[in-house]
Amino acid sequence: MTEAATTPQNKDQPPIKASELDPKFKYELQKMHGSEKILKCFQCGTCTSDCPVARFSDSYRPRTLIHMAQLGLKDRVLNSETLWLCAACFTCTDRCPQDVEVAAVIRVFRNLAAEKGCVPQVFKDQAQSLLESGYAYKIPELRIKKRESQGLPPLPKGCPEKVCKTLKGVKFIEKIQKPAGEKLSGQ
Amino acid sequence: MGNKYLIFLGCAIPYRVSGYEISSRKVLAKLGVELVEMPEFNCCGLPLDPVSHETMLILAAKNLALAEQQGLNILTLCPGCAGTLKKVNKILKGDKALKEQINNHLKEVGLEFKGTIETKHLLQLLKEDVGIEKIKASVVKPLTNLKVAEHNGCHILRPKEYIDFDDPEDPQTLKALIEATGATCLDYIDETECCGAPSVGVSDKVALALARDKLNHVKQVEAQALITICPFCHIMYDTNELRIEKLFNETYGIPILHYPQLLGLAMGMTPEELAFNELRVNASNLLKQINQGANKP
Repeated sequence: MTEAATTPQNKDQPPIKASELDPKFKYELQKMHGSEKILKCFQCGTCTSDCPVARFSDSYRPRTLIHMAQLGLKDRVLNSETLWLCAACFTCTDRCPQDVEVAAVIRVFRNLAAEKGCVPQVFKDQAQSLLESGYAYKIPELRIKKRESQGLPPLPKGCPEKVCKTLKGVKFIEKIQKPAGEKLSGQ
Repeated sequence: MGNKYLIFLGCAIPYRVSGYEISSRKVLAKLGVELVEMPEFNCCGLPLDPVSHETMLILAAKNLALAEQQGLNILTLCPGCAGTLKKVNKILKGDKALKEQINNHLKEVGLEFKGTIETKHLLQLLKEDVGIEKIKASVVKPLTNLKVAEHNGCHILRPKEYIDFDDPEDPQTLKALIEATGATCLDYIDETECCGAPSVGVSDKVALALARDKLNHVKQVEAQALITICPFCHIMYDTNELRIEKLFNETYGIPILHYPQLLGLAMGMTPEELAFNELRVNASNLLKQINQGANKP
């Protein structure tokens, strides 16, 4: 497939300079939960060719992202918006002939990007809702009341104060919890 | 622990898919499965995994620890919740250092993850605990003139290493459960293709293209309904079907039913009892066809 020609990371970006490479990035990834086997990827392209999102997106290519990481293009990978398109269907993980947990590698990239503040709004909203209600979606009061008339038992309490206590010290959460008014970078 | 489970709803079902919860509870009661309500549960953790794996682990472990205190296994209706709770249970049981790290967080609220319970999704419970034979025996109004298609969704099947339930390439359980109602379950192209729901909000264009692809394949085999077992897949097809029809100039008219709604009909329950009024795609034609079939000698 003509991946190199159609992938915007290659098409729209300036030529790679040796100075922007981080030769240790792949070893950093090797130590992280989920991306331990990233060096086993030999670029066969099974992940991209079986990816349902890649079929309908002209930018999301898991193989390219992994290749970029192996080359040390850390900033380009973490700033890439296409990173957030993965639907986490795990088809790539199940079919990788090298047992690379491809979807988990993408998740590691996203986690690192999120720590830098590069996160689509929808994920920030879910995190905010979690900290306020214990649930990732803010369930409207009306819905909660309606349960009774539908013959449903009350919803378990989300206990947000307890959720916040258990998440103390988690980098991303601390970033999200910054005082209101302070703008998150990266968006 | 027998046929007694702590029910775990997660976020999406109470947020906007109550028809799935209502029909599941009705069907399970009839099959003799006892559900125990929890005073406290929170998000399973999955929606936070993309931004913080550690947050996901802590949230899942917190839910598991709460359930362990009750000494009961968890039943979920959402495959995302089931997959997450199963996966974290397995990961923490196999990694002492990580377990200790997560337990340090849980200590803040007086909880500890031990790894003493299991999680099952509705589909797994119906297959393993209730059994296909008992389900067949509960059918009083076989849906013999109905031809439908199934959609398993991803998280009930993958990643195989953690879920290890059905064959992710050619799953059979939902098909067998559909055929237990007397209906025919049709084969079609790309049955295990993702619904696209996780891409909503990042690229609606990609998400809707995936949903459209599925609806096209289901239409090609002339299925009278599409049967789901996941709140997100259901939202993706039911809520968006009309939108996709308009956007891409298509006509489907395919009702999207939660599996327990289909089973409930076969058990003789009414569409009202099974919350058919919550569906966006009108199912009245389908119900008419079912009734016509039932009246035949």
